[in-house]
Amino acid sequence: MLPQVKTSSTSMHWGVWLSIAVITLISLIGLFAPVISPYDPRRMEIGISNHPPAWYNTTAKKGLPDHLLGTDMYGRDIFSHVIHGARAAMFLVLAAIPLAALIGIVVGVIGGWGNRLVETILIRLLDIISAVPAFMFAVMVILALRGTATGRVYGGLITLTLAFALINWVGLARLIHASVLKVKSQEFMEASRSLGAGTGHLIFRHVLPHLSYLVIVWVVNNTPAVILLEALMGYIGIQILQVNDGSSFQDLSWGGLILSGRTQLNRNPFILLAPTLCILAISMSFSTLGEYLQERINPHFKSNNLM
Amino acid sequence: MGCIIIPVQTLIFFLNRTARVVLILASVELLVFLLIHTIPGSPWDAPENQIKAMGNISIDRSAMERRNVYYGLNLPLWRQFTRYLIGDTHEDGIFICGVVCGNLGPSTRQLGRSVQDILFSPPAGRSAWDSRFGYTVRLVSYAFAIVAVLGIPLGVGSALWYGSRFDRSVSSFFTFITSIPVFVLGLLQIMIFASWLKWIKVLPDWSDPKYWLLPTILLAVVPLANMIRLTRASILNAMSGDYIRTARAKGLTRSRTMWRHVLPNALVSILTFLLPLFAELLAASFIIEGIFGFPGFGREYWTSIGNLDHAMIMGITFIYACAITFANLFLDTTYRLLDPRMRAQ
Repeated sequence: MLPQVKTSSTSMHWGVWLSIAVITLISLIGLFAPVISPYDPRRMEIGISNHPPAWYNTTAKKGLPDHLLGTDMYGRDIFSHVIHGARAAMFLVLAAIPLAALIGIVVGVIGGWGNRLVETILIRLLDIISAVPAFMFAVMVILALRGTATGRVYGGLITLTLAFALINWVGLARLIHASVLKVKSQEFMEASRSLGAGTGHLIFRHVLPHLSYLVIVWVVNNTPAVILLEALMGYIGIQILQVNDGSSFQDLSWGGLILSGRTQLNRNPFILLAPTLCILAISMSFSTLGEYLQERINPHFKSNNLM
Repeated sequence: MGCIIIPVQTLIFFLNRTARVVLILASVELLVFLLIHTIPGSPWDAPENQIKAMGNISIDRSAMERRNVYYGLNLPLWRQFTRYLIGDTHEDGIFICGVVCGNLGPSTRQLGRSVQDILFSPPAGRSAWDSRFGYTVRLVSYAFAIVAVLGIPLGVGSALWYGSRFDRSVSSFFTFITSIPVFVLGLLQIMIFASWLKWIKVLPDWSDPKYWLLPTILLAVVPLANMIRLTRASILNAMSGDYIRTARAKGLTRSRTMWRHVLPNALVSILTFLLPLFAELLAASFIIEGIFGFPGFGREYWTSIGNLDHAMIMGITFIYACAITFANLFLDTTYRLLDPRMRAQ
């Protein structure tokens, strides 16, 4: 016999609370990073390069009590770098997600609302962009932008933001486009239109509120993707500035930590540990939250087992 | 003479779709062409191209000029693009056809070889499966098999026992494993199996099938999680249809309802996920191949993006775009042939 549907799986269980706690904690760390980090993450000390974490001694080097997570190849403090990485990730998410969401919503609504020609053009555009592998596209955008003046603003933050926004708006635009078409054909729209409502009123008062759950779920699901993309760029070894004049975004981000951890893998594998665990915690929190939201606020989600 | 009558409507449909495919592929090439030409630097900046005769004397100017003429780098941008796409008369007066004839152009990194030669021709005395293309296709196919064979049953199980311990443990396991960045998983695999257990070598001989296990599993993990989620959602969706209530009300047993009504309905949406899955795997394989140094398209891509090998980058993107676009075309067409509701539109 098939069991009855348990409502507990969609109610607010401890996993969701834990996820919210983790996200809040990391945001707070990011917010107060300059206050709580023990060192300046950019300060180099050549004498103490590649030390393991404080509690660990290798045959070659001992852990230093002053540097909790050890030091990297230039003797920079990893603990401070991880703390500042939370701040960097926060800035990146706050810049990239709204930009991608804005482009996605605008294109999706225009595609769903506009006439046949506009719709066809926009759908072809989406087809073209999705025919290039997203990650390759991002790499090419970064390589093209990093030498320009725009690319150097905030140590390359703008470059990463644009690269992420340019590859990720497509998915949201498709979702929005499909649901605008669905909402457009419903009776209350006809009613509202016959009462004399203009296009602006229809879009802002009827269409967009219907799409809000889509956007919320999209934001929650894509936030870890931004952080992952930045980390992956670090892993592949792509410098976000062509010439690092000491202001590079990667000097403060988890991606940069992964970049240096990977080059020092045989000397100090512990560099990779902390950023990986942070990314793991963030990704898991956001996926748990995303699943919960998907089942809870999606008006079309069906789980009523009729069997 | 038995001839098949093709309705005019279907003919128009096919012409329309063919035009669309050509348009998309040409636009992808244009997009990538413009992007890589905004990347500063030239193909000759890489160290191995700075042939040093003595001390710091680099390649001389006239040789550089000759190379630029040979590769068409002295032409204006639009002519470089048409030369790549359609073809152009070279300096010796011979017309050489471009992408439209299947010629992906000469590589600037591996001098003297064309891109299609590097990607598709196997090393001497080996079968076609040992070419770059063969390696990638095999890797992607193995991962695809894992995803299909494991993903569908696990998803169906999760939906059948919705909310049970099985459902929750499958979903939390895959949430956990997909939250770890894929390159870290790869590094962990290499550290555990190569450095500690010494089962494999860090730089293995890829003709030995046992080394294929790690990259294949790594490639399959994320799509497998997606597959399970999608299968579960479509079964749940099918189980809440009104016809299920009807079937149960008329006295059909639970298992019969499952086999006759739920599974066939859910399978349609699962099948539509399988083709895009192939494209997803192909895109992910670029990263996996980069991690393991796997001799497929991905490794070729990473070395050529660093050296600005324009023809190679455009060639690889072109093949990927072809795969995606033809997969979508195939999906569209089969939909149209199978589902009468689509034909009416």
